[in-house]
Amino acid sequence: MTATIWGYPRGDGSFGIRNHVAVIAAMDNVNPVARRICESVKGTVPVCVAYGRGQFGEDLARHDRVLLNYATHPNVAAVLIVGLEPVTSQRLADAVAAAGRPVRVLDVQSAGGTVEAVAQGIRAAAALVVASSDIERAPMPLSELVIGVECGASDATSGLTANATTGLVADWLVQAGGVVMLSETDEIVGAEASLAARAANPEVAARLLAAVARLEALSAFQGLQLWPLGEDNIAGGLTTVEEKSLGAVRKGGTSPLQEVVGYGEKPSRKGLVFMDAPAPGVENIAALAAGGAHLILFNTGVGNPVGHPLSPTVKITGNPATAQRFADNIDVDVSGILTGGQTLEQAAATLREAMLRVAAGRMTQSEVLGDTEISISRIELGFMRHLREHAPELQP
Amino acid sequence: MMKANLALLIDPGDHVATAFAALAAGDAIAVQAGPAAYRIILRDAIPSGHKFAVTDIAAGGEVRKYGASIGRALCAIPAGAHIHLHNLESLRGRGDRS
Repeated sequence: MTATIWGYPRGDGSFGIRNHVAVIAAMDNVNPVARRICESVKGTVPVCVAYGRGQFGEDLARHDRVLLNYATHPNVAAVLIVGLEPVTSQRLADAVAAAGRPVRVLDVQSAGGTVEAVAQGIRAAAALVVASSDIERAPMPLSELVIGVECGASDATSGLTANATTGLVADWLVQAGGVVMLSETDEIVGAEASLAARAANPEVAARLLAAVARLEALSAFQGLQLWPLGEDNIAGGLTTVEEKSLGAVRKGGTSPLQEVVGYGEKPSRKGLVFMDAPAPGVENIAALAAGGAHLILFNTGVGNPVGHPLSPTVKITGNPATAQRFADNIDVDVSGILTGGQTLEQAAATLREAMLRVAAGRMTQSEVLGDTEISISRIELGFMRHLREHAPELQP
Repeated sequence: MMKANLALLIDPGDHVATAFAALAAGDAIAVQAGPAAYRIILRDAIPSGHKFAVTDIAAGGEVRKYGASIGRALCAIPAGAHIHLHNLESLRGRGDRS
């Protein structure tokens, strides 16, 4: 196993495993323009969002941070920003340019409507793709690789097969000097004590426990049971959030926890990092990708097809029935762990190889089929005020 | 007939095992983890992926899997019984009770 992979060098010293030109819709009302530009220009990827308009405070700050982090994602060679009006579009474009990433910008109002905007966008995107296609892969230290780990549509096999396998790969990458982002704050509830016990220092442990306490405070604030499981989780045999969590945290492996970062924030440390972000698949991979994940290992028990448009998302199942029924949407089948054909270590070697091939350019099922989506999680501003007034120690 | 390798006990201290095939009421199931070994006659049908008690659990008692608590028994649960939403509840994030 070589300790070097091949990536696209970026001006900021990072490496990408894809060389996308991202066409980013700054808000939801111009998503169709971004999509039409991408349908006409090979090598582009549309980054479409919900909302972006009528957002305020921490909620707006998160939206803006995630979009900026997509524009400067290591898998993105260049960016076309598409906005509704000039002010917000230019603000985002200026931030992208300041980060050193090639960027063009247009807004639909100044262009005089969507037909003209699409025409301008096609021309700009085509120029960016031609320029970006000159970038050649170069040796990339494995220690530069950042992965996110996620599980969705979990069942009772998840914790015992796919998550355990991913945990071994996570430990391997941490040993090699890379970054593994574990996330899904709702899915460490019940398992947070063992994770906190592995924290590199007391501040990291305190931040992790505060993230969980914040969720329990949200439950009390809303007067709701926070984690009734999904119907597919329940059908798959999972009963409580504690049970789901104890299986879910296995995918992060056993390394010391080096850092806790907020939603869509880029880690500053190597090794195992926790990102405080909600568990639902699309929201979570939206956050992991914004944190700079080159790729995401996404385990599914009952079957969840979705991936992120910028971070290739490797679908893994350990459920033998899902491996057959859902094969079109599965990249790596580790169900042999249950049926007897495969040890956990063999499954991990298979997954590690598949992950390195995806890093080298092999496309994932969700990339090929276009099963990719983004939802940036909203922040409930009333709850933020509640924390400021009643539990300032729990503020993010 | 004794059926083996159809269910998994993860931790020796666990109160539940997980089925990896559809099991029928009356099936005899053997599970083992380290020093803990059980031979259970199932009281209920257990769908694949679902849990059954390997020991009697008192009403209100802690239920353990993965060597940790996964919630509280809503009623007395005898060994061999199916464990799911009808007799096990989560203790976390219960803003509905606050």
